Amino acid sequence: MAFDLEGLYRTTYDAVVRFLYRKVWDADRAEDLAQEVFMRALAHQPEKPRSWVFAVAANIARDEARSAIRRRKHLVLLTHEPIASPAPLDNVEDDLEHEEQENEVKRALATLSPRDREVLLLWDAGLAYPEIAEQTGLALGAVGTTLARARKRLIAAHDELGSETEEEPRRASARP
Amino acid sequence: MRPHVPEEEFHAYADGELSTAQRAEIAEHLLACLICRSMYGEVQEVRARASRLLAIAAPRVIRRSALPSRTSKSIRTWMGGVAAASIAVVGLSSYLALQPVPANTSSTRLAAAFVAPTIFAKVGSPMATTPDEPAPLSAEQRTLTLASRAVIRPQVVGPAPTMQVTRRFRPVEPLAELDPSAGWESLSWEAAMALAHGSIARLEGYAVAAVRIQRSANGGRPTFLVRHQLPDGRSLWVVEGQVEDVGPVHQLLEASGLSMSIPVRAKPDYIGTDDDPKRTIRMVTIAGYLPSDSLDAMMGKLTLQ
Repeated sequence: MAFDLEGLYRTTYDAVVRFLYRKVWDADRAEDLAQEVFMRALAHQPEKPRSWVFAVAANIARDEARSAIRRRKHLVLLTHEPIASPAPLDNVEDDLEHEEQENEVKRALATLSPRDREVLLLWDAGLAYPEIAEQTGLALGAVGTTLARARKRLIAAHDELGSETEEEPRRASARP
Repeated sequence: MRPHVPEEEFHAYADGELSTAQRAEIAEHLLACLICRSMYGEVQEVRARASRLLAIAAPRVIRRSALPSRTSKSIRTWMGGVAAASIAVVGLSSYLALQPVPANTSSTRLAAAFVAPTIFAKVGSPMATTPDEPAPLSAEQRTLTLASRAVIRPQVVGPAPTMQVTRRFRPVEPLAELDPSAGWESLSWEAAMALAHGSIARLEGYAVAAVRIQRSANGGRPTFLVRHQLPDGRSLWVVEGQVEDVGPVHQLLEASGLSMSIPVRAKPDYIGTDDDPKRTIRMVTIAGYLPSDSLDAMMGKLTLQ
């Protein structure tokens, strides 16, 4: 069968960007990396394009994380000037609130074990259990267990973080 | 009956990852087992919450349109001068360059499809054109629009849901159909409270219209059935009792056409002698002629009093 990049792009591009975003936490970088993934797909023409794309995305994100650490060291040496945000803010309050919420999810995700996090993100990217099993090396039967645990831990961690941040005002309001 | 369904299997069930046979087995088990229904309700909630959290952690706008120019340029440099490949690139980049336009159009069309059926209902003809009708659609776009309209239409048609409610609204007590020999007794609120040692599950803020109890074969607290009256005259029933007793009541109410909330565990009770107490599992659920998600929302109003 002919390799269908357009079809693959249409059906998985958004999911790949989201998947990468949750690893690099930078929208522009995630899109650049996603393009890199699709370019590699064009060169490689994989048999199972969907799972292949996410496997490559995971690898790219891993490399990116390593080079990001290196880059950060460089940046510290360079300058203290803030990096200008290129995106105009339509609604600053909304953006701030969203950023705050996103930070909580980000921190909750960081508390998961790498395997739990990977399975959860792959599921959310639209991969089926057999595809997740193949990519993570888990037994097919273990995917459900891992996913169940990952979901519960994400929620528990998020609730915990939420109660930490809310604790202060609550204590203050208890004593008028 | 098969043993209770493990939690991870419910996740796979909710994710649509089980075989048809496995799905059927679980669906059948769910019909009969309140404990598993309750567990499945929890799994669905966990699943939905996890997805909602992940949805927050996503770039707010994904600029799909960024791909064509950048990709085609980089692909060109990357492919060097391979002639055959460059033909493919031209094909690809022109295709991709066209992509964002239909994608946007279809989303506006989709939004239009949401509103359209109600407008059409007034006009009378589904073929009537709206004043701001855009340029004619391609066959593919048309199929998409029609398909989305077909999917969405049943949810948009105005009066249908209310009609359905009125048709299903039967202000009769389904318990009239309960077998009187099954041991249901009508009690006053005070008598029931005395029997329940001062704690009956009921809905906060609604008038209690009637209380019925059924003594349990296992001993211990009886099963309580508390009828509440809504302001519009409809009734809601709160059933609380040992899981073995609530199961058949649940099935009976459901069979008589009432919607049921997802059952949850109530406070456990102990039966048997003081030397050898046995913990019983008690479940509580709400029944009524309301959509089941409204009943699930009602669960928040449950109080033990």
